[in-house]
Parts: sequence; structure tokens; C-alpha cells
Amino acid sequence: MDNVLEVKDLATYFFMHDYIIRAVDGVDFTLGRGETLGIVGESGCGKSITSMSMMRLVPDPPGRIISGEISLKGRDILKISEDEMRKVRGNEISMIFQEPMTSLNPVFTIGFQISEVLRLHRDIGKQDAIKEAARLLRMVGMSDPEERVNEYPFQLSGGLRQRAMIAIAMACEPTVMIADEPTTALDVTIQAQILRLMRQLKETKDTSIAFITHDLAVIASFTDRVMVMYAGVAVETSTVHEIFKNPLHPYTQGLLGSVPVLGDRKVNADGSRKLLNAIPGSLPDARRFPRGCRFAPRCPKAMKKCWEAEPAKVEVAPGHQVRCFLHHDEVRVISKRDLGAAGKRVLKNQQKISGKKKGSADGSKTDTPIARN
Amino acid sequence: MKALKQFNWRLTFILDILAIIMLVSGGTNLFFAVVLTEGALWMVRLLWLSPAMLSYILRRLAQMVPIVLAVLALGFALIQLAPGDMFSQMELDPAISRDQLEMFRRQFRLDQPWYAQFFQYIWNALQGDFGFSRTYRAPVFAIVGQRAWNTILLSLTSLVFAWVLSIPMGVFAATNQYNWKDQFVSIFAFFGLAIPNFFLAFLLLYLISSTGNWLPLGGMTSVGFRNMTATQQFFDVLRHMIVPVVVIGTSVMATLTRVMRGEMLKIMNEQYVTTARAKGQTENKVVYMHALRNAINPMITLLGFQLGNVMSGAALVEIVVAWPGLGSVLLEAVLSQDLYLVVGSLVYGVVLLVIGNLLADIALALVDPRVRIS
Repeated sequence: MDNVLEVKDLATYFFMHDYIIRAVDGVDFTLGRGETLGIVGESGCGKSITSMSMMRLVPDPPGRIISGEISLKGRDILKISEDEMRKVRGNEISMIFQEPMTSLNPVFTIGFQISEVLRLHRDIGKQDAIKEAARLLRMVGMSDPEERVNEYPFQLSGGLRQRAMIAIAMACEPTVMIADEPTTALDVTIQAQILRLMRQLKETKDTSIAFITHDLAVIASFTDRVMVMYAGVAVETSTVHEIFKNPLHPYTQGLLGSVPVLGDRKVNADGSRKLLNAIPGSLPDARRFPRGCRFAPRCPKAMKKCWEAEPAKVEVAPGHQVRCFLHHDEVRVISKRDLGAAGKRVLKNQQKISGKKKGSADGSKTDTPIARN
Repeated sequence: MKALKQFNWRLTFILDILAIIMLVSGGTNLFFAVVLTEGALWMVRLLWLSPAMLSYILRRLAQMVPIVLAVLALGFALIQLAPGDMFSQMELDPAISRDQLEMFRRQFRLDQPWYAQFFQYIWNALQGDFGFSRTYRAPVFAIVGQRAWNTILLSLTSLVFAWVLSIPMGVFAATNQYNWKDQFVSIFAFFGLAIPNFFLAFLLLYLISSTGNWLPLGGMTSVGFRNMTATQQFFDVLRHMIVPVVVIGTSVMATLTRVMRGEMLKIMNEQYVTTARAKGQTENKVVYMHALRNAINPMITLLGFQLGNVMSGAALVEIVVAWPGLGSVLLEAVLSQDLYLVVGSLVYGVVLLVIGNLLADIALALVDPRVRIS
């Protein structure tokens, strides 16, 4: 399987007034032609920022992609100009969002919104674009597409709107489609329909899909490979089968363990109420990540080493990479990151604030995010 | 059907231009014909766009009747509550006898109770007689008609001026949120809000007169207006309008700019704006097509209210720059207790206000499909 998309050491930071949020800090993955990669992780772990980075749509300021390489069919799209990037968006990489209710513009017809993307990237007239839009709507399983093109988003149900979104995303037959929790806001029967539709389209058009979700059931049924993210880094990547049968990273194990199983006994042997399995604690503050492994504070198997250094991502079995000292000893060496003018500004503001607090005990001891690199 | 629709659009467009030309050059009789035809064309258009909307508009027009009646009653009551009447001043004049005064009062039906006057007035008004102004010695309809005309011209031009500037300014401020450009626009807007209109008018007049009178200082037309060609007349009125339009326009613009900025900031965070970007749309189109089309709705709703605001705000400025509008007439009428003139001006203002609100509603329906279809 040849890779159409390769992401290497992607880091997206948000430069706030006096601190930096390291939303994505070292994510690598590949996406083969026609392959579906699931990206899982809890809310706030950087899944959506990863997808926005792939589209280069991170709001700047405050966000900025500060390192990494995203090569789409061999071309690094982080290095091309904004004009060239516009030709990539919607054409070679397209996107579906979580909320079908708000992701379509309420004052334009469905037909207009589909034909818009066609007219941007194809040499096609207005009338032909509308006809093409109707064809696309038929493809995503809408009845009476010729009527629907004249309707407005508020006249459609959530499921139909998501189908319209998929029609927009598939209009130019992109190489890669990013689906950012496309079924989260839909009810279960509609969810199944949308997933079936996406699988159908993927198979006929040979599109690669990056599927972002926190729904493990969807991951199990829909994806080929899985990348588990935690606090801005990819902690484990493997085939979907491996992940479910043989999870190596304690976070992945915790994630899988927290799925309630139907028919499970609700009381323990001693009669006490059985609690749902949950990973204790919550995501670390993205302003000040722990020094070592980011999962260490919540990890049941944390060792002394885990608090001191960050593990590297190592391929422990063919196609199975994991970032954990339980499975190897390699320490992550973070590439030098140029924070640029924005970084200097934040540092200056930080000094200004800590200067004001002079004399307070923690002033000098604070582990500033920048000092780390 | 399609050709017919296209023809309708083109015809209204031509009529729009005709109407504007006539409004400025003052060809009043034909103007009404043009406006009425245009109104009819809009109704036809609404019929195929949204029948529900049409019935709503007809209902709104019907609702105007009680509103106008209420304003009439209020105007009558206010003048009756004030001590004296329009002839009180004459009582001190030794040249006018008691009998003459009695006769005047009978002529104006001031000897009858107020409700009799009221119903008599309505009866006459239905027949097109809006009473006689004592101070101007002319029928109220003629005075108010010409004056209201000038006020509408001034108010509409000020509104257009404010809209044309405030939309790009609001968008500009929103897209440069919190940097110096945004601050600059905000300061400008707050300045416009804070400074009283009449004071700004005086200030501008002072500046113009001290730098060599390069703009007319008052009035609506120059000496010798009648002998000018149509184009000369057009530019003459335009030159006279600059000061009042800038004064009224800046205060309206200030509010509109702030509203536009806030709305744009809200809309730019909407998911569909990201969708538009993800399609590969240019940033300009994302802002001016996808976001602006949504941000404009509250502005249109405001328009209806603003028409009334602008007209009452114009009254003060009109007096300062000697613009022959409704403001000075109304002031004079109230001071001399010229009953029918007061009521006439009030009714005129109210009718315009209601129509303005209605037009704003129609415009909103045209812009927003969610209002149109449902």
C-alpha cells in the first residue's frame, strides 16, 4: 500500500498572552491509499487540532504549526503558498465536521454550497455545477436530488445535512478525507447509515480517510489502523485488530477497559456496587505538561524513569508503534523547535508577570513551557 | 415564467434608478407613480417568493390603521392639554375684536369639544382634507408634503451614507480584532456616538466658514436654483446635503459599525465559515459572502427602527443648518399651537415609520430564507 499522506513530527502550538498551549506536540502517522486511519483519544487531546493542521486551518493568531512535515503524495503542504494550499483544500483534502446542524451555511441552498466547491476546483459552468450537485446528492442517497438542490439547510434533517456535507467533501473526489467525529451528533440508526455510506464511497473512489472519533465501537467496525492520542502526542499506532487484541500502552489499555460491557455483573463478589472502569485523573494542563511521560501522573504502571524522561515512539512489532518505557528504553529526542517572534513575545510577557511577583516562592521554580526545549 | 421573472427584476432596477433621480430633482408627481408601480412589482415578486410573506405584509398594512388613529388622538389630546389655543396670542392685539376672535375659533371649530373636533378631523382626512395651518396660511397637506419630502431625502441619504461606510468598517474591525486598526475604528465609532449632532453640525459649519466657505452653510438650494439645468440642480442639492448628511450619518454609523463588528465576530466563529475555508474558498469570499450574508440580518432589523430615529434626529440638525424639513415645521407648529399642522406632521412621521419597519421586514425575508420559508 503506497502512502498518500505522511505526517512527521507535527507540532501545533497556541501562543496566548503569557503561556503556550502545546495542543499537538509530535504526531506522526501515514495514510495509505484507500486506507482508513482512526484517531482516538479523549476530548482535548489534540485530535481536532491535528485535523485542522492537515488543512492548515488553525486560526493564526494564536495558533501556529511550528514544526513538522505533511507530505501529500510527496509534496510538503506546509511549505506551499496559501494560494496553492487553497487548491488543495476541498480538492485533494476535504473535511467533514461533527455538527451537521451548523456546518452548512443557513442562507445558501444546498445546491449552491455543493456547486461552490466544484466551481472552485473544476472548470465548470453554473448550470452544470448544479446538475453535478444533484448527481452527488443522489450518490449520497438523497431522494429527489433535483428538488433538494433548491432547499436550504434548515429544511433538512440532521442525517440529510450530514449527507450533504459528505457530498461537498466528495465532490472533487479528494485523495484524503478528514472526518472529524462525523457521526457524534447523530442518533444511532442515522450513524450506521452514514458510516455505511462513507465505507461505500471509500471503496468505490479509493479515498483515504482520517477518521477522528472517541467512539471505540465505530473505530472497531470502520477503520483499518488506529492512532491513539494523549495530550498532544501519538502514544500508540497499530492495526485495529492489534489495538483491540494486544494494546501495549497503559493509556490504550485504560481506554479499552473503560468501555462498559453489556451483561457484565453490576455487583462485586462481596456485594458492593461495581464501578465503571475509568482512568483516574484528567488530562494534564496543556500549558505545563509533566517533564517525563505525559501519561505518568495517571499511569498505574508508572516507574521512576517515566517521571524523568519522555519515551520515544518505537516500532515494537511490525506496524505496531508505541511510546512507553514498558516496552523499550529509547528516550525521545525532541527536534529543536523555532518558536519565532510569537514565542519571544510570550516569553517577554512571562518575565514581565514573574517580575511583578518577585519574592513569591514559586517565581523561579516554575517550569516554563519554553524552557523545556 | 423564468423570462417573466427576469423582466420583473430588470424593470424594478430601472424604476429604482428613475426613482432616485426623481427624488433628488424633485419631480414629485411622477415619483409617486414610479414608487407605486415598483411597490406593485415587489408584491408580485413576493407572491412567487413567499405567499405567506405577502399575507403578512397585507396584515401589517391593515394594522397601520389603528396605529395612525391612536397617534391622531394623542396629538389632539396633547394640544388640548396645553393651556390656550392657536388664537390666544391674538387676544392681546387691540386691532382684533372679540367678535373676530370668536369667528376665527368657529372657523377652526375650536368652540366645539375635542372629541367632536377629532371625529370631524378624521372624517375630513378620509376625504383628503387634512386641515388648514394658521401660521403658514396654507393647507397642511401641502406644507407637510413638501417638507416631509425634504426630510425623507435627507434621512434616506444619511442612512445610505451610514450603511455604505459602517458595513466595511465593521467587517474591517472584526477581521482585525483587538489590534490597532480595530481600536481606531472603535474610537471613531464612540466619537460619533458621544458627540451631540447639533454640536457637530455647528462645528462643521464653523470649520467650513473659517476655511473659505467651500460648502454652502445652510438651506437646501442656492439662489437662482430655478434657473439651473436639471444636472446643476442635482449637484446643488447634493452640495447642500453634505453637512447634514455627514452629521446625521456619523451618529447612525457609529451604532451600525459596533453592531456589525459584534455580529461579524460571532459569525466568523461559526462552523460554516470553517466549512467555506475547507472548501478552498478565498478569504475575501469567506468574509464577504459566507459571513457577511449572515451578519447582515440584525442590521436590517435595526434599519426599521433607525428610520424613525434618523427622522427625529434630523429635526435638530435641520434647524441648525436651516434645512427646510419637517423638524422646523413641527417645532414652529407646537410653539404656536397650530393644531392641524402638529397632527399632520405626526401622522406623516408615523406612517413613514411603519412603512420603514415593513420594508425592513421585507428586506429581511429577501435576505434570509429562514424567515421567508415557514
